[in-house]
Amino acid sequence: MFKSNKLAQATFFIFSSLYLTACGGGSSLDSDTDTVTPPPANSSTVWTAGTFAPSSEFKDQCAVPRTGNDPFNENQPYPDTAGSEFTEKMWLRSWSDETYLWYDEIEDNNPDNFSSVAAYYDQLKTFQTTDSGANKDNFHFSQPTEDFFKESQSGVVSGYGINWAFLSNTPPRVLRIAYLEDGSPAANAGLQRGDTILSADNVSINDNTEAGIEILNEVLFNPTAGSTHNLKLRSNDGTEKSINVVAGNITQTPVQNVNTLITENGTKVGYMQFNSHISIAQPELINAVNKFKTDMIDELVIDFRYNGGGVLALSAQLAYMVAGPANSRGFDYYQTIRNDKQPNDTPFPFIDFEIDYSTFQATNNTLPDLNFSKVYVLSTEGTCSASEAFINGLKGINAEVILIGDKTCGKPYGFNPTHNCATTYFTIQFSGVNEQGFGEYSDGLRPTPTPQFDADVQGCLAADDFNHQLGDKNEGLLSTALFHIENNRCPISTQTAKIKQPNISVNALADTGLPLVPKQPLYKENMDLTRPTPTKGDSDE
Amino acid sequence: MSKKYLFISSLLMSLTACQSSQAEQPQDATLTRINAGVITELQQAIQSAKGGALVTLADDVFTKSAVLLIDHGTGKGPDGLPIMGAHSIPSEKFVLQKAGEQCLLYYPKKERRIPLPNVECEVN
Repeated sequence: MFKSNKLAQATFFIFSSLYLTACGGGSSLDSDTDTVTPPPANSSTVWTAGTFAPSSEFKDQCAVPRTGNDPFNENQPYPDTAGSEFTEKMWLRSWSDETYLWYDEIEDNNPDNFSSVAAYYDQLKTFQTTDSGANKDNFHFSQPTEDFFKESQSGVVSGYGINWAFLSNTPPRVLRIAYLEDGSPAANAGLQRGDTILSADNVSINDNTEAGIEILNEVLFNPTAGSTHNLKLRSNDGTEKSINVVAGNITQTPVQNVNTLITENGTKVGYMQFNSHISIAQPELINAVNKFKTDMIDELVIDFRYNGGGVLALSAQLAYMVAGPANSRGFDYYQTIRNDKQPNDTPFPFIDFEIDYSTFQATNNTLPDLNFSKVYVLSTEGTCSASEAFINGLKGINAEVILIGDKTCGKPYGFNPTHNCATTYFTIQFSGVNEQGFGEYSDGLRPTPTPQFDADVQGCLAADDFNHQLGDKNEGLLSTALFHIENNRCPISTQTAKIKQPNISVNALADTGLPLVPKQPLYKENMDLTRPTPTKGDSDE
Repeated sequence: MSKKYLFISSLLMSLTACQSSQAEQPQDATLTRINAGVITELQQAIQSAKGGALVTLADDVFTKSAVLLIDHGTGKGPDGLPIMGAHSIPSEKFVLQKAGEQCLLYYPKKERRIPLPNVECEVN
């Protein structure tokens, strides 16, 4: 294992280097002055349907070129040169043709027929649908590059430390507390999972005026650090409470409620709630696994219900810590599949070492492992991206994954954010498959006692249960998992459970009235594919 | 005699110098006092080290750990959902240290140490 691990580390190094080369923050110019240089001459300044010049011919030719130096790129001069909206569109067109996963499903429309670069970009994608009728591509975005480079401390969110669940986002709205960050203002004020918000700063949660919505959005989701607000909530026992709480910049606790439960028949079950794949979770996951080893657990339940994804390397580490070397040795965890114009990356292995996430270099510390061939995963539609990769990666090595809850969000895709003319573009450029080559779960991974299709996962449908705390043996998903552990089948009551999970965007579109717009950290529902590199001095053995 | 005295003196001096050097060697530390001014000073030190905009820091930054990791910030797509995808820029790491009585912000990437004159910290 050690030897193959060294090989994997060397592979990481090589491909990480390539990755960085391909996707670096910016390019440099020879000039260090503020003058805007004219665009290079090219022979492709006219759109011809079906004919694509290399995107490099149009790169950084901007309608409004930036001048001066880029503070996010070592104060190097901006790479922009004088161009036009047409050259920006032509770059997008060629870049999409080169890198978009389904480039042959893009209609090659005349760029001049679109009033703006943004409008043109919006249609540079597939409009086909999945088997379920959903859009095939729901992840086509752009944003100002300056916003892309805004940074914050890992795992810091502004607010009170409340993670809301939207059971209904339009009147009559139902927002309940899904979980709290440990030690946060909300936790210290005595709020609990399941509490239902009634009003914020005396604005009813059902207010449907623009002014009311604005206040609710600000107070609930985007309060200024240091500001005090009043929240009225109803607890699960029916009592109402009014609290004044001060917003702050809160450190997240990505791993919570690590505990060893003992079932009625004496089975030791390790449980942990894993909320997000962020770098600061690494030591907490290691501590949790070490505790489970010490406790000599028989079964493991990982609660991914609110885990929208993040750093893929972290999920590969967790998968290794569950499966151990005996089950994962020599197998791939995740393989990216790009279009036929792009080379595929080297597969991601199960990672058995700690990573310095500031450099993405491997350390010399090996990870603990449980050597399990079976794991219970609790899921909802908020279980996304890197969390889905965990499920799919383990299924790829024939580990038994028992999925309890609702189907997952369905995001087996990723992209390399690419900058041009002060805008950063995100277009789907790869999907990910497991050791067995499976990765088509764009409609979500579905728990079912009787799997029939590739995206079906052995398990039980069960509803998120806001009437109990997470980690409570009586909480709906966990109790279903515990029942399955003891009886090797689903409880009858959950097999027909109707699920209504808080999916913000779906509810906002499907219902009537004004929706609230929460602010969420970037890593939620996404995947960061940065790869670890070997420690300095490691050889390619 | 004088040679022997000189040798012993030199040895003692070098040991003293070594001890002094060790005392001044930066060691990982955590904050003993935190307020808005301290956070602003840290934000400015981080910005001067790595460039870019001021970074959002937790209210309890450097109180539990000497190490600080900085990730990308936040952003949402047109549907209100977050849009972050695969990127190649690792977290930035900073370490709070103390050398003598001076608190420092260490930026390993560039091996820079920035003095924090108004920050109080203690070695872990």
